[in-house]
Amino acid sequence: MTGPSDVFKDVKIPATLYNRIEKRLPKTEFKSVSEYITFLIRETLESIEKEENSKKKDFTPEEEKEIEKRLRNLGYID
Amino acid sequence: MVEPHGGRLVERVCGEKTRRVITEQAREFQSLKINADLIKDVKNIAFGVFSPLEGFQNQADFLSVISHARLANDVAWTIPIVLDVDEAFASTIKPGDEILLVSDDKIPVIVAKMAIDDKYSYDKKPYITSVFKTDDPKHPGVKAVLDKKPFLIGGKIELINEIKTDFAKYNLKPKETRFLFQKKGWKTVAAFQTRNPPHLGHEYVQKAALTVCDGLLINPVIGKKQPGDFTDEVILASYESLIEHYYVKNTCVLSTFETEMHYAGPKEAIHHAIARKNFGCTHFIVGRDHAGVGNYYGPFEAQEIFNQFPELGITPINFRAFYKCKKCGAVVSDKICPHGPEFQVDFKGRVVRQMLSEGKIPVEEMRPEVAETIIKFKDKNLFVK
Repeated sequence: MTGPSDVFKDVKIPATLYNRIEKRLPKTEFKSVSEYITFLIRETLESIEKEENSKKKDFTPEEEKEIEKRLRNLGYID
Repeated sequence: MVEPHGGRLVERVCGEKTRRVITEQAREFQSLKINADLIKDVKNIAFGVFSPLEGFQNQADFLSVISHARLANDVAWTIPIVLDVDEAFASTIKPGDEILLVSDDKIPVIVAKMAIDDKYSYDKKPYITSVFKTDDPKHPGVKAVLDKKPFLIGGKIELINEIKTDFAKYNLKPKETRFLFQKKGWKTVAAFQTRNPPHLGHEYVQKAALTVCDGLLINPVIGKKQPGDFTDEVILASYESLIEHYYVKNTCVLSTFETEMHYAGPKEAIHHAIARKNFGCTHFIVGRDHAGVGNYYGPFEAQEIFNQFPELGITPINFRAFYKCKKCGAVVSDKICPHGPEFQVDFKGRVVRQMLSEGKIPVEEMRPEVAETIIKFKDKNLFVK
């Protein structure tokens, strides 16, 4: 089984930032600074990754043709 | 367009040439028979419904899912997607092997090739309590895990043959729904999950979502059902009727989600939302006791759990309760109706089913066209036997 050392890792952050987050904690639903930071980092990473992925094209022209044909045959497109 | 879960829509379907080669060389591979539910998992992985999964989960992902509700790469995931094998089979394979997954029919069909990257034993207790929040063997999801074989194998799959259901016409793949939504110019799409024909309450919820979204995906779960449930054929026909008579043209798509129900309540609500995100939906309608069974979950737990996944990338639309209010003279929810319980008439599924099976139209609960469509099945296959 996975042990606790694999489940959580230590990260160093400036004490001032830690204090700032700790001060905000009572206004949130989070039980600890770690929990709050995890939430904030996940949100930030998500938006960075979203921005990167938004530049990708969804379908190749060949795929578009093929999908459109099938959807037309099935009656989903007039 | 909403991005797929984990950032990339997975496609694990082999090309024609590979399919021919594997079919010809099938005897050289070790094969494993899989049942209809596992075949659905394979298809959902292969066509990207379960993106970012590329195969059955290895131990790192499995342990991470049950302890954190996340894959090992931190992407949210709440239900283990695993392949169980017995000790005899496990002893014959090792990481690096390739095996064929075949249907358990009399004449087996090659479903997929799997590259084994992990083989592991597992503890059912934490699996069960993490996913189902109970270890009661009467819970159908718990029972299903207790019945699982003692080893799990993980690794990427590649679909060789797609085994289609009777309702293939309705089974759009994520690539197709995404294309369709783009073609229709829908920027926002609400997904509605169902396992029943629509009554007026369902229509109210769907139309409430449609007032804030460009389109609606009605996405019935097709699969193993309990005796007495409406058949899949009836559910699809009844929705066709509702859409034809009561929905604005081009605001709604009816397509199925072929999957096994785990009845894991809140954890499964997240799982269902992820699948709908992969279909291209931006919103997911979550009702009271979504994917629940018996009294194992609180009525709104499946809505509250979304607070733990702020980065999920699909927005829940929560409905607490909907009913007919005699004073309002309409179907309402507790959010918009100020009147007391003495004016409320709940939708009683049991009464509706009884009336329909007797050929009567439940006028208080259901559109007549929908009821008439259902009644046509009365002497054939209205309910699962």
